[in-house]
Amino acid sequence: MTKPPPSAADVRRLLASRKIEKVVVLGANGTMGYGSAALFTQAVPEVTFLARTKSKAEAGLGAAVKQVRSPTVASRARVGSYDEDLAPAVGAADLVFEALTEDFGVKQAIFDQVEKHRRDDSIVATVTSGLSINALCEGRSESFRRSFLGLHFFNPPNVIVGTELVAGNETDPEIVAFVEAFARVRLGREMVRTADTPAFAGNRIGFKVLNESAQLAEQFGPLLMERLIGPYTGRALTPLATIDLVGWDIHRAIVDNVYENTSDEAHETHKLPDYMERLMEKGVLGNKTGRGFFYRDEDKKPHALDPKTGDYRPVSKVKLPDLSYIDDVASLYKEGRYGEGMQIFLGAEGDEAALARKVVAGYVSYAFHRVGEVTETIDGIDRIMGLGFNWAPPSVLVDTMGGAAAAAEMIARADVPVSKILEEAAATGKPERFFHHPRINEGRFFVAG
Amino acid sequence: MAIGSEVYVLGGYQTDFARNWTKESKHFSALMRESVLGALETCAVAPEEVESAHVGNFAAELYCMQGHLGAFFTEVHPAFSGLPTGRHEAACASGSIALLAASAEIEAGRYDLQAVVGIEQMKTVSAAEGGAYLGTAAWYEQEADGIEFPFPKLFGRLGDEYDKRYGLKDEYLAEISRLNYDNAKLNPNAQTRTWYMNKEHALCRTDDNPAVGGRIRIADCSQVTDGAVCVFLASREYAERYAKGMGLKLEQIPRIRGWGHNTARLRFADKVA
Repeated sequence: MTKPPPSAADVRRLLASRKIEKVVVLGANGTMGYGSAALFTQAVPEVTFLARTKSKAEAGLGAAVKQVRSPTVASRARVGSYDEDLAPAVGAADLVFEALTEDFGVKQAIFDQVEKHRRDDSIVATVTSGLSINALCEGRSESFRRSFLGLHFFNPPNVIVGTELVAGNETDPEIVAFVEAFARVRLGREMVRTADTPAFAGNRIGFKVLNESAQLAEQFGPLLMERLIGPYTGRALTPLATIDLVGWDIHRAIVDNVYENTSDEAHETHKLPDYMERLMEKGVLGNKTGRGFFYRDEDKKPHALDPKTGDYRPVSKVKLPDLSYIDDVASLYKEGRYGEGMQIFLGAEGDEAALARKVVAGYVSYAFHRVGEVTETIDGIDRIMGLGFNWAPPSVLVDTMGGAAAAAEMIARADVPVSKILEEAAATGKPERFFHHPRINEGRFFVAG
Repeated sequence: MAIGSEVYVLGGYQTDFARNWTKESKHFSALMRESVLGALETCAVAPEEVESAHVGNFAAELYCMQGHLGAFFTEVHPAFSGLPTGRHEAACASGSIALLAASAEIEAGRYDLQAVVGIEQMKTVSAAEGGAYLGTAAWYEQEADGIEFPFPKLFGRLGDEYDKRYGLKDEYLAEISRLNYDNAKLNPNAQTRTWYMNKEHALCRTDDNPAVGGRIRIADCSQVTDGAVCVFLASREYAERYAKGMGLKLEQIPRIRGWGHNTARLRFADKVA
């Protein structure tokens, strides 16, 4: 039975229950470090940027100022190094926020320091996207275990509001409730509680789709996959362009973590394609290395990878099959006719449309299968996919397809497992609608590009 | 003044003003469709019950190469085909006078249920081009033609005039910005709800807060965006039936208690004379 959300009175009581006036960000020179630190300065009068050296911390502060385009970040910030400043800063902090590299050993070392110097009543949060919250605080003091949780912002946090909140087995529920209220009300976050499972909710589901698209790119080519799993399927940024943006190394870390530590009904879709492993050894990592699934030459002409050979060829030389159904869908989306557009997609003929439906069916199926495992209900998954990944939430796709029966039929036809939730809803006709967030415009997810 | 029917506001729907509909490759009609369908659902009004619609819009001809916006309302649902509709323009007050016109018709007993849509899509062009279009709300030839961002400059002149008459400190303007942005953070539909702002920023004089019109800086400005709102206005007779059907008391439905309508002279000099 899902707990009802806290009342306004509860939220006010929670917010009044403790002060967050000093926050320390560890790893403040990294992207998530400085981005999170900038976010904290919106609500916290003193945010201390710490890194291995003071100059790295200063660089982080500079990056934070640039990211939110305000010099006033600096008036709320202090900078320092771990050696000189961690002890006093952590000793005075109300909240310690860890954003170091995604390495268990590195994080353990810094938590050793935090544990030594923190106040007993301070909160310790980690922005980890892949490591287990319980594993990170195992063997630590009772006070640390009670005060420790995952606070997974998405990048960049000044734009993306979806945030995962992951409690450890022994985290004090009042602290979890406080952080949830604080992040929602004072930092403007969309808070989603998830279980402490590999990659939590958003990345677990999102990277399944991204990796599956990468797997299929080997046979069908990146350009075709980008077109097939394009904006009309409910996303602004296409899957392979997303992997290029995130970085192939980050992508690998996430899917390896899931592949090694889970065994669900779509396990093989998390296996990193061999061709990506080979290319990474040659230094191909996506946008940060100037080359990924795509790159632009000196004349700015776009090139696409041929996964089989590892070579690139001009996009203009790649011939795609007739995909006019996508234009038909986009024309309808352009006028806000999302249901009608979706019907065109569901009924489009040809192997390519079927392949696109298989991947989209896989997304919806995978999401609904994770209910009870990564979140309590589909609602959390919907909100993190919508406001963390900026993808059409699975429930929005189900509703736009015409409801559970239509979605179940589409998923079964694609030879993908339907999930108990959708099967039951299809049989009973309830709920008639899955997505109930009047303040989240469903139309924003259906891009007509 | 004759007293006609009271005018009730049943409710409505607003799109998320942070959305950039051009980035979503959406047409003007998508804004219309989402706001009207959203209002129908929110208010539990059947399309067949709507008797007329008024659309308020300032400059779709410029931003979207599209006029005849009243007819776009009829595109939203088959039941709206043939509906009496029209578009009103009064610069920034376009939506307000659409509401006034609709409520006047209800007072006159012409209709019992009206839809009123306020709709604008302004992110279709660059800031400079959009700035020029906005200048058509001034006397374009005399006050905007050839001037970059004419409207912020006019507000800058207004600030100077106010300062001359009553005194005006930058910190007061900054306090207004702070308050507006703080309120935006509480509004799930607000354009700027994730933007970084505080009073110190509103007062800062760096490139992060450039001047756009004399004393007016970017932090002082509400910036253009895209959005649509649809509300339903009803006569007392309809509102009574509606309240009963919704399990409400009539007194729980908001009612328009009064209105004022004043059009100032166009040129700045005449406005402040």
